Amino acid sequence: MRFGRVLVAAAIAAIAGWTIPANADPVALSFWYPVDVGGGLTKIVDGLMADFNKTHPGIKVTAVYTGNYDVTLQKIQAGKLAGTLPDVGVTEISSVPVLASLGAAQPLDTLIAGSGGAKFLDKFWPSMLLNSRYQGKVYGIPFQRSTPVLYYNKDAFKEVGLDPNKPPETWAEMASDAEKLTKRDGGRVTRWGVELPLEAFNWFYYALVYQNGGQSLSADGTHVLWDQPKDIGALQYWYDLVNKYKVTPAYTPWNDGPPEFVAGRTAMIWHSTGSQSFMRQHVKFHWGMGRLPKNVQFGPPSGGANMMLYDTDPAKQKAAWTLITWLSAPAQAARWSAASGYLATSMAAWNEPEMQALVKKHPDVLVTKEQLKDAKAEPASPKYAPARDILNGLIKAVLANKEPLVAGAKKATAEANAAMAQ
Amino acid sequence: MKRVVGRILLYAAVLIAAALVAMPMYWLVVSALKPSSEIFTATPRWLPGRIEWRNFVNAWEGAAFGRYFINSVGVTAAILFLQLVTSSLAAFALARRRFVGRGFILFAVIGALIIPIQVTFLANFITLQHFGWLDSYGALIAPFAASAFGTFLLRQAFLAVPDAIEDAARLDRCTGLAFLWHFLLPLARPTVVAFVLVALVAHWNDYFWPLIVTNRDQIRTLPIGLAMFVSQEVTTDWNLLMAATLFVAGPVLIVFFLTQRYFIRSHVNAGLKR
Repeated sequence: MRFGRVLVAAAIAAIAGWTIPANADPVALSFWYPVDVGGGLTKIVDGLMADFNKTHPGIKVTAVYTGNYDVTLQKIQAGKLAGTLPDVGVTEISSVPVLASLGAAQPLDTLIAGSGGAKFLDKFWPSMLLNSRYQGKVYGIPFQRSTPVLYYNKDAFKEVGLDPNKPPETWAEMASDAEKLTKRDGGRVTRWGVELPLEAFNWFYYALVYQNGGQSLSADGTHVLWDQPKDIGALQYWYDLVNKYKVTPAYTPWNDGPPEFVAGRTAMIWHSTGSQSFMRQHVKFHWGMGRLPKNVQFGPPSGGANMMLYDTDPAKQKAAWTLITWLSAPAQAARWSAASGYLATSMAAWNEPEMQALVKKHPDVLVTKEQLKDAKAEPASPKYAPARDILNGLIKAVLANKEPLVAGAKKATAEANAAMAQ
Repeated sequence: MKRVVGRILLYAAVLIAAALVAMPMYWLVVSALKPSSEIFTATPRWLPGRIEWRNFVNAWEGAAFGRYFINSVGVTAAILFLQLVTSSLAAFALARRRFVGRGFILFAVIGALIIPIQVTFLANFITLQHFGWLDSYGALIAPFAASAFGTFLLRQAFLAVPDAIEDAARLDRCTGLAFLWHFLLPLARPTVVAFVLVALVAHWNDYFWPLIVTNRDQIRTLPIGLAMFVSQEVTTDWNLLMAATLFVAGPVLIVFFLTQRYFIRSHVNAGLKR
């Protein structure tokens, strides 16, 4: 009898030992991410990872801050050559073709098929998947995503007799509102009508081209289209805001924009949805958000960063995919969005308590959701990097009247196409 | 009368020059003390309307600055020490010894001066990967253990020491490394101090390399903490950035003020000796 009991116990122990390896080391994963914003977001990422590790005993993720978007990309490119890639990395959305063509990022289609296939992808906003594919395969899963919106000063609208609940919807309305809102003291502008800050990714150029019904990059990604009529028209409108209506400064550095809006130095500003938390924290007057205006159509460009997977080992891939799917699940997407100001990537996230609370407190945030149905891709191709810089130079030179618009656009187009053909 | 006018003009010029240097420093300190609503105003505000001490707390808590500070001090000190050793030995050989290939080596050192880090970073990165040194202090220090700039600078200084001094030293049996230690380095002190200051600032402020080769807060340095406050996509909290800048720039400024007197004195001394 006693012997039998021992035997049974030993058998159970043996079976348990087979099926559950005792004290197995958890799979170690690294997660590289480029967020910043006053240092606060690193804390939120650390909190998310701590919760993931708590709820997933077989996996241990370490989050690593990797600088801004450009340096993170360089770090991953170097990592590919030296064999020190992360398991999961967050990079700017236009890096998808760059890192996929390099063989660094891995296609996710098999893993997606295992998680429900099309049903898995359908949980995201369709426009957020526009920058996910390369050569027909999915590489990027949306994480910290944004579009630009129009922030406007309601008090200034009232002051000049404009309806504070009606931000401009078209190019023409925005120009005429901006003319009323611009305040001058002699020759000096004390308040601009609208600012379109410029950053390295030329976001607002793409916005204007889309709004004008154009494209700035050929469908196959091999050549730029900046000399085409719709692209010329887009830059012409920006040029007119600066030099004809004189309601926009020729150059506003990206990071200076929101503080200038806060200080009342501009009545309207185009900026990332990610800047909402800064505005909520610091703006002392009544303000609101509107969609970016349209000309022939609404066309806000996509922005922000996607998660990509770099493992080739199946066990690690599985663990990394668990992390990616967990982070993009509604509960985590809502938590990340509400804390950071980035857009909730899954549609269901808007029903989560954090998002509901946010909408209740700031109903304007629905503008950012509304706008997603019109959002367009950010131009991207494996060799786009030099073109990006050439375009940046073109915009600055044209707006500052240092280069004629049409001739400058033609020259820059030829230059960029030559650089991309190499 | 003429002298008085000259004096006034001189002081005016000095004051303007001093203001040009001091202005950014002043703006840094004042911005670090302002609430963010006062950072951008239609007319510049020279004094904060309300002093926001919280900025320093928020900035300090925004990144692991305590750890970064210790790492920066250690890494920079190790780099400076290694650079001084290797540069002075190399400069000694290049300036005061004759050997086959000396001209070629000197040429290579000067050539190395003009190669930017963007060209070498990938090769260095892969080399360190082969050593298994990535993500360690070794990766932060080893690539900078030798300095073409320091070698060239010290070589020029050592060349200026007359041969007669070396001959005299030899009579007292002070040769080789002893001569380097007891004569060349003390005589080249102004150059050594200048080199140390330049190298200190360069390596203390280095951001790109430490960010590329490290993945852990435990071994990262101050500029990485600073960069966490600059956003490429969303807006920057300038007041917090300025407060964090004070953590990073402060120690270098203090070192500069402390060594400045010594720096000037060594120049004066060098002048007297000649």
